[in-house]
Amino acid sequence: MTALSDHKTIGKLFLVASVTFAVVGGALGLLMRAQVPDAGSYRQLFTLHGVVMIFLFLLPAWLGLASAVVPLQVGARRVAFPRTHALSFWLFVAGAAMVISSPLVSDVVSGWTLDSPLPVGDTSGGRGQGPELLILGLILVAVAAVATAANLIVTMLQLRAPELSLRRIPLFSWSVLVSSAVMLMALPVLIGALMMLFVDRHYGGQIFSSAANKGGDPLLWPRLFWFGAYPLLWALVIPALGAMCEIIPVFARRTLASHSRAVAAIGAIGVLALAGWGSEIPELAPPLFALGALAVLAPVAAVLLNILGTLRGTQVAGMGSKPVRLGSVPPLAVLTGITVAAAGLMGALVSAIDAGGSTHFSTWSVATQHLLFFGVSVVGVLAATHFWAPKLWGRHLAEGAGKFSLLALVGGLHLAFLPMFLLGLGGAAAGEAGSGSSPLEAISTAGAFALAFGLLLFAANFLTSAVAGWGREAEADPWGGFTLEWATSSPPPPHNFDELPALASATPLLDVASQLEASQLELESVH
Amino acid sequence: MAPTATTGPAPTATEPAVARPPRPSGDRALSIGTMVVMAADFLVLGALVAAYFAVKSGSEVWPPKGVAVGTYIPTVVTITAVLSAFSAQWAAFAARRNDQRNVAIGFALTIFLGLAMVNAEWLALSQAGFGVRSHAYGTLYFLLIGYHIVHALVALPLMGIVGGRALAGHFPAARADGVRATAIFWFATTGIWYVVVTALFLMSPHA
Repeated sequence: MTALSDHKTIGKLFLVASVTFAVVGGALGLLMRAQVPDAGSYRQLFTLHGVVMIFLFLLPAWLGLASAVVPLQVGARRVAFPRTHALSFWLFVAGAAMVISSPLVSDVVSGWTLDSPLPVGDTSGGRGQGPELLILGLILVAVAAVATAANLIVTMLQLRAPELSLRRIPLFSWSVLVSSAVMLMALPVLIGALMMLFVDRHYGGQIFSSAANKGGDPLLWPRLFWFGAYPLLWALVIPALGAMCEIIPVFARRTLASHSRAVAAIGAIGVLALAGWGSEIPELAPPLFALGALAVLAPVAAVLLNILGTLRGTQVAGMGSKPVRLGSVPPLAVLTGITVAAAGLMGALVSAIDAGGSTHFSTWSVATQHLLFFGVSVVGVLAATHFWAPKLWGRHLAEGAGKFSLLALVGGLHLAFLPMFLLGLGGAAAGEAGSGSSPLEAISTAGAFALAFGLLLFAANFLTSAVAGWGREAEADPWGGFTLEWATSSPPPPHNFDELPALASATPLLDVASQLEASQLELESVH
Repeated sequence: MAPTATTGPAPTATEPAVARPPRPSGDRALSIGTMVVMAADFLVLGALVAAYFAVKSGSEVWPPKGVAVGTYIPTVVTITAVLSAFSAQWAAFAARRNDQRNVAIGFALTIFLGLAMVNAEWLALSQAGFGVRSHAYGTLYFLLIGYHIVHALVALPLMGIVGGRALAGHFPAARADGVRATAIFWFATTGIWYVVVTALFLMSPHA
């Protein structure tokens, strides 16, 4: 196995690529908020901003973190298919390059859902257009994600340490397993839909055509798209919740309030994520979809309460030298991330109850989606990167810059999107350039700038550490972690582990420390 | 013949199953990985089939006027697909017995049958009398059959390579999983055809 097919290298490459694309996507979003005068440019930026943030930032960021961390957490020496893993990354890069360069070919103004006027309207514009490049790029990115998800699933099922039963795998790995399963069910449908869209545009197919006597159905597109995209949005939140469940216990020196309930809740999000897809389509939205969109919120809230409940528990025995450090960046990110999640849950709850009301397809839903999906996921990426960076490349990310970027990011999220709830109730439609005159819009714009600044600062902090090797050198177990990845050196050797500790629970290192402390106490009592 | 592809010792009375930790051995990773990917692949097909039935339910006349594709070729292809699954399993069984010559023979037969299928499907497409641009039925007809042809065109060289390498002795019983994974890929390819033929012909009236 060469270094380029080592899962840690591939994971880091995915992360570096995703953060680089986040800067590009953030810049595009910022241009949007800065009120570009002509509406066509606004639609173009609107499209790219959404596509980049979801498919080129959050998706590869979690694929990268999962690729790097999961094999270590489950005690595997490698991923199941190292060469396929490397291929997935390069497929992603090729697809991402196609997506990013698509507006250079011709205007792409369809919105990130690619629904207007892409499938319905002009499909006769000839070959080699920007939208076609965008579609092909997205197909490659989705194929890369499916291959990586399958690789991680097989790694966990087949290559985990012998004593590690599925019930004992750590919560981040469990969340990756659930998220990968959701991706495997959602992304292929998206790939199929994109294939049909490409055939329609490039080869003159008629599936989504509105032409008379051709038998096409334009309304088919949003159904197929959201069937794939809605679960995908949840698949990007699930690993964030899994990482949060790992981080708080380590820094609070307590075990999670209930490991088994967290396992059940994360699994339930995965199942229910597949139920609410129709809630995003104006023509559909029957009660069943509203119910699905509502039901998925309960396990999300359960996970958040589980994390908060951990803070009330009693401190664990062992690892006495590691104090409670809730002021570090990873736990701070989790705790502030919970405020973002709470605001998003509120928005989604009201939307689910208010079926067909003014909260739908207005800036209310924009705020809900950005807080619940983007907000939780991006704060999770920040928390998880700060948490695992010392392990993965042996360097801490800068603590001060980390706190500052977190403040800007979370503050920006609240400032940018809470006013949008009110604007939405006032009837502001989603996806259109506002007049920019009201105080609420001004606050929202300021928040967007803060958010973009936070992302930029995080990107700079991350890239200088991961690529340039800046920052404090990390010891093997800088945080006093509970799970297997902390039982090897930082960064780990190519084969990951020289030897594995005994695995009797989901927190093996905690067991080792407790046993050590118990034997020391026994020794003291003998003497 | 001694069984060689076991995944671990069976639980005995002195060693209850619940107390024994599971032992993922990793020796079936390739075939499990192929199954996971092919499951995802079937969902891509699911999107195409869903589109087909959605378009069908919105049309008054189905298939559209002037479409006469016939069921002769699809029937021949279906029978060939069933036969080819047997020959692919022949190769998988042979690999377990460490009989590398029969791995090559099984795959050679499967390649022959697969080529016959692709040839017949190509004939069906070229004689359809309509095209991708004609109507939504035409687009989906070409897409669905094309989806199967693309899979066959990936599987055929793959079986050629694995069969050839088996002749060279690269797939002893310990590495039989590679042969099994290749056979699984072919089963899934024939499975795609069964879905396509069910949607396009069995569940749609044809002259």
